[in-house]
Amino acid sequence: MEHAAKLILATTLILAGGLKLQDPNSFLASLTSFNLLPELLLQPTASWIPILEICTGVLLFYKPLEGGALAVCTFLFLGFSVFYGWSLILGIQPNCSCFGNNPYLQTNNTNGLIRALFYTLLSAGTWHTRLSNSDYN
Amino acid sequence: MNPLKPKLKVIAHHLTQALAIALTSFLIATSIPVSHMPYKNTEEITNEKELPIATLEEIQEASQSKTTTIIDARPKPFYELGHIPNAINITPREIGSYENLPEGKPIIVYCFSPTCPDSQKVGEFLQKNNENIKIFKEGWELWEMMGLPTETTK
Repeated sequence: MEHAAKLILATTLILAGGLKLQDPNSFLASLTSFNLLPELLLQPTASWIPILEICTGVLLFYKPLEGGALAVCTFLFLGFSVFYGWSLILGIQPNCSCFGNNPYLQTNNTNGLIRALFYTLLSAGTWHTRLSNSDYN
Repeated sequence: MNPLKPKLKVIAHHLTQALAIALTSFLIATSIPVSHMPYKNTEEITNEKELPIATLEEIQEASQSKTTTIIDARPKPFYELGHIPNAINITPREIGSYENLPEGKPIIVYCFSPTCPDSQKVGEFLQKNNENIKIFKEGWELWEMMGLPTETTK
């Protein structure tokens, strides 16, 4: 079960990161439209998130860093949930470009929030299982 | 011994690893030469030359009267699933090689929503040869939300 969850998370992250790298301007435009980050941080964040997603996706299957990768996953998806929730509150309809400009993976705010919350819970649950299985001594 | 202590220790260990992953990926991202990351600067994106905006009423009228060319700039699979009646599909990737555009006719371009960049890209390209270009900013999202008639290709 834990392995399947990690597989889903890793596939999603690597796909999302790869597609963002293919069309980096769309993601930068999306970040800009959310109006949440100061201008100075927009470009570094837009370059950083796709690389972070790919690294995390790969490291989910590297045993020594698995726990850290699950923690990153949890916070990353929690961050996306906050972004979606925030844009719902503001009433803006950003095209999140979470998967680049792939037409099959684009969604509206509400579905995006549900999707992000699902991944947050999946990551947190998998991290929790990993913590429960840890040898504390 | 408090049973929470060892668990907290593991959480702290994982958080340290997470920080290391975040920092390393940040270093990788910033070490890629800018020329290899084709980002426009933010100013360029937020202050792109604004094209005139078409209202919902304008595009509705254009769809019915056919006096204006309507361009759906979304990727083809979406266009096929549903588009504004009488709209033709030209994505930013295809616009350079598209030859069948009626000359001199007003054009309204739309894509998904107010923040999708594709209608702006297509509009800017067409503006070189046609001054009568408008963007329907709210795009497909509003059209669909209003329950207006749509057309499918398949």
